[in-house]
Amino acid sequence: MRTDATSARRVQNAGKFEVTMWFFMRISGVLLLLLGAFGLVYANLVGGYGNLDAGAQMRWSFFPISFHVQSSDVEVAPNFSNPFWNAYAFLLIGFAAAHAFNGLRSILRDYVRNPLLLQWLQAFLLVLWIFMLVAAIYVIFVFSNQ
Amino acid sequence: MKVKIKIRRFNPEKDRKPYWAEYTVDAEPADRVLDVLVQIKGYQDGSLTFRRSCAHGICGSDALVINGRNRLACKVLVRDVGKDIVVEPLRGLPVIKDLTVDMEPFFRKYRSILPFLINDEPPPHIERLQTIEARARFDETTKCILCAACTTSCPSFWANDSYVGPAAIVQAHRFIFDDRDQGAQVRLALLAESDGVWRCRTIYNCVEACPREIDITRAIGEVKKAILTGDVD
Repeated sequence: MRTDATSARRVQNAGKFEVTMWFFMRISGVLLLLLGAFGLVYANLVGGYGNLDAGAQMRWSFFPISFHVQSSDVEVAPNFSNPFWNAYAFLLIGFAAAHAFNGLRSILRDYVRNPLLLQWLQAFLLVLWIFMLVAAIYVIFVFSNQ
Repeated sequence: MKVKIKIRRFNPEKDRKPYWAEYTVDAEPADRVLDVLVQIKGYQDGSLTFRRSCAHGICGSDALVINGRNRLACKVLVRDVGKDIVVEPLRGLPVIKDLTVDMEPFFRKYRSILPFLINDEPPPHIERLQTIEARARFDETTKCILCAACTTSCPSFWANDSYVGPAAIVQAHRFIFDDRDQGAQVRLALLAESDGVWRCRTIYNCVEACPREIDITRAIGEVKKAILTGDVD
């Protein structure tokens, strides 16, 4: 049995990240469902029921920003456009993006055998992920509040 | 009854590519597929190559892909698979000849998880005693016969053979949850690497393939949980 100090530490660091991401995938998967379900129920309770068509309900549950309900026959302010829903939408998109991009990372690690290509693709994923978060911040906090 | 059997054959000294060979054999419904193979080798084509040893489902030598599923040729009867039988070597391991695959990559994974008792305390006078409950904790995973049916049915292993594989995790489970063993943290650290348990996507092929009916995905889940919590009770 060989477990010298450096190799043991390297093993633990690599393992730490993977175990964290595995646990995060479990938690974020459940949270996504809960966040979506709560948004949907709440929107219907505060006046959406009978006024939001199926499309608007879906758009709202998975990305609760105010102009997703504007197309329907419902008063947008004050129930649908406020800092609470802005933060809520950002959380939902944040969890969804992290969950999805980590899933893509896992798929890459399964199928890409060339280590250099894998590094490049993972770096590309990271850039895409950051771009998506920036775009989400812009859409939620700037664009939809105009 | 007449049984038609198609066998995926390959002789590296003669063939450029694997090919299908067809044989017709007289067999009883209660004969095992292994009996059919033995009959072909004995009476029709002596060059047919396959592994077998105990022929009673214990040694784990004759795991094959039979009608698309990983099974032991000595445990599956002709009446279970019908008159048309298709036999291939295990997937994901290099073929040596015909139905014989190179098991070395598989056993390398097995050795990597330290499949032996680690306990630095001097052994007591007679033996290391254990309660019935503590023994039952890992009873399921002691049933593994290392036939490689699970690992070679796993799509994650097909996609990337650096994955340690279900069989090695089952063997690790057998020692991790044994209270006489003190190497659990070392094994958990090994399996926490990115080529360890995280490549398991709970596809359940291993559970279907296991001829010993071990609940493999559950054992892998328990190892994942132990890595997360550090708790092996």
